[in-house]
Amino acid sequence: MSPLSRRELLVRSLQLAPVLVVPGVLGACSDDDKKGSSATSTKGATQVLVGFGTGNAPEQVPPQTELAKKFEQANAGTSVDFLRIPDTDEAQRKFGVLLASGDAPDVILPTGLFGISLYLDQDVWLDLSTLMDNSGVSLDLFEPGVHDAARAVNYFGAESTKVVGLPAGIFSHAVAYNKDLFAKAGVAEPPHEWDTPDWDYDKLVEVASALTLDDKGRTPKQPGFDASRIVQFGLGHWDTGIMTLGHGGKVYEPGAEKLSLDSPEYIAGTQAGADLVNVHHVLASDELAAGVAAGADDPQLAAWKSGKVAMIDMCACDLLSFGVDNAFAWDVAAWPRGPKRLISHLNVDFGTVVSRSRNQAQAFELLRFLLTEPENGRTLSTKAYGAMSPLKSESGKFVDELQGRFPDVDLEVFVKALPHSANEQEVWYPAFTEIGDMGGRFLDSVRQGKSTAAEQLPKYQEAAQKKFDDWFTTHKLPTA
Amino acid sequence: MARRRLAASGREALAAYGLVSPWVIGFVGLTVGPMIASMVLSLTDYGLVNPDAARWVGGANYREALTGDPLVWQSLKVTAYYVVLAVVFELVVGLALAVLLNVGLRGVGILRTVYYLPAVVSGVAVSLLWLLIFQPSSGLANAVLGLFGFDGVGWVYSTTWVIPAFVLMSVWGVGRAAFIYLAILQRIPTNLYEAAAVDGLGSFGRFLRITLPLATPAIFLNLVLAVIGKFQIFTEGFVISKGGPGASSLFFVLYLYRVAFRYFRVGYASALAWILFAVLLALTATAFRTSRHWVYYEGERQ
Repeated sequence: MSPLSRRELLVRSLQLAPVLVVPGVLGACSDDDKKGSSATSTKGATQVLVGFGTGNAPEQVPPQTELAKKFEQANAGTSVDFLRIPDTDEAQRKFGVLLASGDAPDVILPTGLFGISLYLDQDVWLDLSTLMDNSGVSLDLFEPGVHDAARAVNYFGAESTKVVGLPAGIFSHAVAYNKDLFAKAGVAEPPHEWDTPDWDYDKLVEVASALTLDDKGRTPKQPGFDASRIVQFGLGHWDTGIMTLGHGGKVYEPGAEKLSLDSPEYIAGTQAGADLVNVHHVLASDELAAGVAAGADDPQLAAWKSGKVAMIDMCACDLLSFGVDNAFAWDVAAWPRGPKRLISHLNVDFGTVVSRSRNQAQAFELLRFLLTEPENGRTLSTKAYGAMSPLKSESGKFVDELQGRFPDVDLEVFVKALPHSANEQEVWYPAFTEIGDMGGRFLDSVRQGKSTAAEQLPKYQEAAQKKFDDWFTTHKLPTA
Repeated sequence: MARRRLAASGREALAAYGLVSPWVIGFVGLTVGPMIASMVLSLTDYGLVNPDAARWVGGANYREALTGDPLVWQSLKVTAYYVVLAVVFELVVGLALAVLLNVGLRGVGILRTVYYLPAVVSGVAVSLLWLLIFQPSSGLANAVLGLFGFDGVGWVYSTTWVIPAFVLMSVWGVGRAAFIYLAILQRIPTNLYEAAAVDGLGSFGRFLRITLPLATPAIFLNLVLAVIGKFQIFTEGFVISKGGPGASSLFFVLYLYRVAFRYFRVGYASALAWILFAVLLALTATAFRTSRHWVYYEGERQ
């Protein structure tokens, strides 16, 4: 066989090209055909994104899967596909990309109010009111306290009939504490009753200080304490943001034309939170928590589970992650009172339908099935999420459902938290996402002790106010 | 006869065009097309969720980026700081590594493979690995500093150290630059070194007078590639620091991504992309303009 000349190689390659190209083209076409037929055969498929908050811990998955199967059995020809993204930031990023690619999931379940607020002025959420009317579902099925959030009244206005999500769970917060560490230090456990006299932020620091130890066993109040060698923290996984509210600070008053990030109350509260790390040395920041429990994906969870953190802020949604498989005794107590308010965080979760869903009716039917039918709603909220059911008919069943799982934990503390809880940190205001994102620019240096809240918050206010004002140049409130 | 030759060369040209056509189609469809689209989008307020509501806004996005958005300047500043350090680092360490790999030692082939391996490892996996190395309390970086009696630093948790941490990370990919250097080092005739040795030049002198001048084409190529590549740093910031603490590692492409996929402002993000393109074009053009003064091409008339 004679070797091919360069010219022959080129000519034969060209002759061969159609042979290679045609199957490729056909393949591409048949791929499209497959996509088409796939879309047809999965006409009843509903994709549920789980990742905007709770719902992905191993213990939380089986109840969701069982309910999905139940839905599929009750609705022949349908299927429920879960898209699980355990990291919230990552889930939000992925959601953005999926929206952009025209491949948006049908349902986000659950999403907190924060997740709803992130996208509220982008028309991401489907108004469910028509579908609700058609299927006889009313918000009256749910506790009145969650109605405003479901209707996004900060954005649509109090008179609007729009509904952006069906309530899926109510999560209050409490202080979870490691009983063994308290006993070892001889420190009295925090009170379980809310609004107990003297249980305030100052007392919290005092208790946390007695439970913080360096590698020589010294507490921050003792001479020679080495803050760079802390091996046990009084506080971890802490909500310093809620302490700002406890000092009377607020980001925004609905209807106001100015933000109030530079108010004396907001400054005092922000500084108090930072001082827990940098002045009192009692709180494990993420960086410090990583030091006591190296190599973990979630350093705060790992630090708590390692038994080296005495107290954490525990959302009821953390019960099935922070609350299981602990090698120490633990319980929950009330949040301490701030100088201006007794307040703990309230999370309300919803199920939403994405406006770009290609299967909106089916997606809503899934939400209706999961969230309004009492047994399903209770199973999902309590067994899957660790939440109190927002359904009126199921109120008060939270403790009964979970007490068997946590026999030594005073779960009533979560129930009694409700009158002292608020979710005002998560309520939408103009330029919510961008103003929230820019916070780190100003506040990280305060959290690291390199600057003060008094120095940074006026700058934050100025930059945030500009974004706030700019929002009105490109958007209009639906009420306007 | 002439006609047959012409016909033959025509067929050959046709065959050549046919063979390059997949690339041309890909280039036009996947590069030029999106570039034109992004140029048009940059003149609109195109949003990701409601594209039908897009309006023509002319140069408003560019005006906002250059005069009304402090994060654009912050992200450019952060990126430029990183690029300057990382490019110098890559050029110097890459050349040093190439010189070492050019020595005819036994097993150097294995070493060359080993040094190139990081270039083909997933950026996300590498980022997670470095995150462990830079853990302030338990990471390897501070442990090494401790061995020499230095206090540890906050690395990716510190506004001061986050960029130097990323620069140190960039050493991971230096194998690619080293291989470009190596290719040119291996072409330097050994008789030049022999002649220099006869003239009494030491090894450093030979490096300075022979290796370095003859390696300038590779230095130039690596410089241009590194500036373009480093300006587009994304994965490390995305995975490790998410732009923080504060905005101290908010790289330009990370900010662009955030604008597009978190705020859904695709029009504005497109304008940012074109601003980055203009910056890179200017820097590359400057590099080419200055190259005639310091790059020596063998055989080129001086």
